[in-house]
Amino acid sequence: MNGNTRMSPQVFSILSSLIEEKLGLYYDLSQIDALTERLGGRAAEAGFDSLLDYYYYLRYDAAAEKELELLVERLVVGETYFFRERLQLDVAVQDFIGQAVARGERPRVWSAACATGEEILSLGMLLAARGILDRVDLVASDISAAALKRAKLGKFPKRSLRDAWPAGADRFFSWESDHIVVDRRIVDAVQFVRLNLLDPGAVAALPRFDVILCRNVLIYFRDSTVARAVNSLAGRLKPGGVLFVGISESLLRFETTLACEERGGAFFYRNAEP
Amino acid sequence: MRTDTAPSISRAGLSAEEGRRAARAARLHDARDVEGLIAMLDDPSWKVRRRVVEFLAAEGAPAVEPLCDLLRTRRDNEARLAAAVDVLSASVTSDDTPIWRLAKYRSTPVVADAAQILGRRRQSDSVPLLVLLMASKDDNVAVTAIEALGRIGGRAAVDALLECLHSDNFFRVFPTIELLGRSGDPRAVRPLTDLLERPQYTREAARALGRTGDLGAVPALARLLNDSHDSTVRLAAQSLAELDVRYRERYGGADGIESALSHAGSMEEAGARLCRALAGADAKEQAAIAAVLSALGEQDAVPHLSRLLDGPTEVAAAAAAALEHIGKRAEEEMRRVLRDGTSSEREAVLPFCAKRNAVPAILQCLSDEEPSVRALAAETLGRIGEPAVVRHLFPLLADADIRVAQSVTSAIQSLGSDEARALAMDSARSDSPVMRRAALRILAYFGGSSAFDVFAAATGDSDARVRDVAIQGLAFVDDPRALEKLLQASRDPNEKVRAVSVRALGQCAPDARAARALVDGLRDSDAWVRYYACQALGRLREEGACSPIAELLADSAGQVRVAAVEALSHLRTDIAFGALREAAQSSEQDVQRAALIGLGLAKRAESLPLLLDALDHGEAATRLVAVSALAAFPDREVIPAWTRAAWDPDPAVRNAAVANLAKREGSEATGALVGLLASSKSDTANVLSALSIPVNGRVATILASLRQADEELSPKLTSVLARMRRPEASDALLQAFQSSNAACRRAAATALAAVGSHDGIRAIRQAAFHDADPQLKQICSLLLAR
Repeated sequence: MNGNTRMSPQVFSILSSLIEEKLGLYYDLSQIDALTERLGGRAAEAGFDSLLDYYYYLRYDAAAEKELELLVERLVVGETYFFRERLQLDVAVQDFIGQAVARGERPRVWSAACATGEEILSLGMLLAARGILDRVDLVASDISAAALKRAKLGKFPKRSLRDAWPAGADRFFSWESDHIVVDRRIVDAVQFVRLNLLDPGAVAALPRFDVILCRNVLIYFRDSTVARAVNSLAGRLKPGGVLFVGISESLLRFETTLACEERGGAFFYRNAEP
Repeated sequence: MRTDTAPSISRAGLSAEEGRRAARAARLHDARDVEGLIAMLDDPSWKVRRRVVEFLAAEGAPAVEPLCDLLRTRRDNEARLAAAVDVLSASVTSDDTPIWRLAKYRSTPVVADAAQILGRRRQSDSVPLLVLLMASKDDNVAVTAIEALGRIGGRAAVDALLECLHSDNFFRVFPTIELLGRSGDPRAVRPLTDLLERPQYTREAARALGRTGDLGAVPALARLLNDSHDSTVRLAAQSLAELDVRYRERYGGADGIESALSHAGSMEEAGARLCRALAGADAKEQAAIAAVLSALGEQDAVPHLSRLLDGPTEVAAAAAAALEHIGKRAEEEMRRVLRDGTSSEREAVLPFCAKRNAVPAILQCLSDEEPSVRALAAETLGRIGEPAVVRHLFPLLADADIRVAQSVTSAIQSLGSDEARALAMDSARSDSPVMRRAALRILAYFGGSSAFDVFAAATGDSDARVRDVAIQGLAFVDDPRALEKLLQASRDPNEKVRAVSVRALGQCAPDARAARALVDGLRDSDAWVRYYACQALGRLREEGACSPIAELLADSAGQVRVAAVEALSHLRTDIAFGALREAAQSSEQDVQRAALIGLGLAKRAESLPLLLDALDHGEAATRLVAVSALAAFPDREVIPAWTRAAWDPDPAVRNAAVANLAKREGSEATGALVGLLASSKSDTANVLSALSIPVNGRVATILASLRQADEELSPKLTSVLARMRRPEASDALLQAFQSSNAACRRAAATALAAVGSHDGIRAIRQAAFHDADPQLKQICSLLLAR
């Protein structure tokens, strides 16, 4: 199959619906060429000349789950960087994680859809700088096994550090040729797990968290999928626990049980239920 | 710096209390209790108020008078007032007289609200009243009326807006400029050009001139390119670039601002001036400057454009397009970029390479570190069509990135040549399974008989994927032994081998032994063998297999059930048709969709009601299939069904409906498209493109519609005729220009000028001097002055 031959709108319609149903990723008609390219390559590798045959394979075959895991590597956008939207990370550390530690608790933090892990490792560095890294449980999940593998490696291209880093954070990474290498203590402090955010069973199996970071992920979902994901995340927050989403992602139009709050310019959503 | 402030809390979504109030509003709506709903406009929650607004708007006339009364008498709550304005703007009533009365009230805030409502309602019969309000002593009322006129549009509104430019009141002139730019009326160009001379209006007027898409604005904007301020030069470039885009959208064709710039005069320094203004320009400005440099054909801009190739995508693409357009010197620069440039520079330039003298430089891109560049280079080489490059492409068949391997395969296939075949034969024996696989694909594409031994050997390859490609390739080998080999493989103990061979048998020429093997495949234990057997028998139109295929409609595997439906779609038997009709009502979405497609292929009149019903299906994918399947039916019911589907919430369904209307011959489909074009809510660009397809009956129907068209519709229809660029469409424009409909004649004048035919210009010249309509004379004079 030539990956450059555009799929028909009919095939696009069923394939994009299936991908949204299984993975939450939403493609509109304007992205038909991009999706054709990504699916075409994977379908050819799986031995299919026709994207319609490939759709039936994903829909009906017993091996579809495995194939979806491979397909997701072609579809997900792993674009992230260290200390992205740092204000929220500072607020999470100072106002929630740090205070819980000060109360003698052992707070749990989950970076949901962590991609290659820059967010949770940034948080880890901030915690290490305050000397409390070993008193916090850090969990990071993503649907992409390849992204998690890269995260666990702790080695990142230079462009992953495009924002200024906070004072003292450079103690926790080093430069190696054109890569940066994160201190093993930080990487090893994180439990990386493969998880589909839209799999309610998998999410429900996680413990409850004091802080959940799910930033710049919901923008790839349609409203109906965002609502599903947010409800799922809300169910994993301890009472009083907080959810941070990206600064361009507002949950105000969704009917959730979470209350929006603001601290020093950083917005988050709290599980206000007792 | 962080400040410790007390957290401000708000509920996401509806709180329990808000939910209760929203439910109360719903009950009031059910009880048609208008007063109760109006009382709820005081609700402190905007989410609740929004629901109340929707309910009241749906009430129509009974809510209008009480709400007008509210606006007159209860102005102590801003939120309530805003909600009342929202209701009246969206109300389903068709009678605007209560709002007109409101607009004559003695209080200016009330009048301003009324003007806003009338603008949002977009009823053209409100124009005279709004023109009166535009002259109000109160700036708020006047500006609101101006904005309302801009929303409503049309000739009368534009006349009023033109008049407003003389007011010399900044607060009124400023919004008027913006609205005139959007009006598309050629009479707006001259007054807007005059405003360029007045510093307080220069920027807004330049932007508005860009939005007109009128070539008459080019000379004035071009003069700004010589301005001493870089910001003005950038502004002029952006306006010219926008004008170019709008003009091409409206009239099609390749010649946008280019020839207008060449006649603008005093352009000697403009290129250098634009290059200087690149420093400090943002991405949009840089892209616009590149577009104008391209239109100017500025040779000296080549180094500057080259530097933009490493910029953001939109800038790099504009720069590459400009380099491609500029000519010989730019060609040399593009070749330099291909040889020595960065990956992103190469990626920007490659799509524009079309000449054989660039081949040596493109070959160097095949070793770029970025897979996307390697893939693009291969595609470009395939497009240029130089067969000698195949030897450079073959090593990339084993590229680690599958996109590259696919692009290289396609390029080699399109280049052909004996050398390619020989290299593919060699590569089919390579140590690399990836290479062997790709080589077999290429040989299968070339076909012929010489490669049989290679394929036969590869069917025993140790790599399963090479084996599969070899089996599939046998279908394209012109040798009787290939069929024997496939029949043998169809009985292989390995189910994957059987599936691939059955799929391949479906691609062979019809053969009795193959058909028997495929029927046997319908009973295979493996679902994919049954799937491909169905597919193959359908493709070969084996009507004798109809019954065993129909039995698979109850198969345990979903893909087999769907494949059975697809196969039956190709068989012209009553059993097949009956099964399809039944499957079209299946609760299984994929089965139902496949059946609907099949009913379209069967083209039997009994299917039509089922397909029409499917247009109301809850799944967009099913509606889409139904829209496409209806194309097989010439029946009159199809056009209204497609017209309805053109309003579908799903864009793919809408596009398909419009595309089908575009291809349908006769006056009904064209009339439906014209109806869509007349609606302010349709996707105008899409419908314009659809109407521009010159099928039988299209031009005549457009011409008939033009004779009745108003000032809003006429320019759209003349733009369609101009975009067709066909003699019969130009004739229609000339006929429209002779019509008794003034709106039609004025629009036709502008379109005729854009087409630029000898007869059209002569007609415009004659009208400029002798026509009885003074406005048309003015328009024609303006068009001739260009």
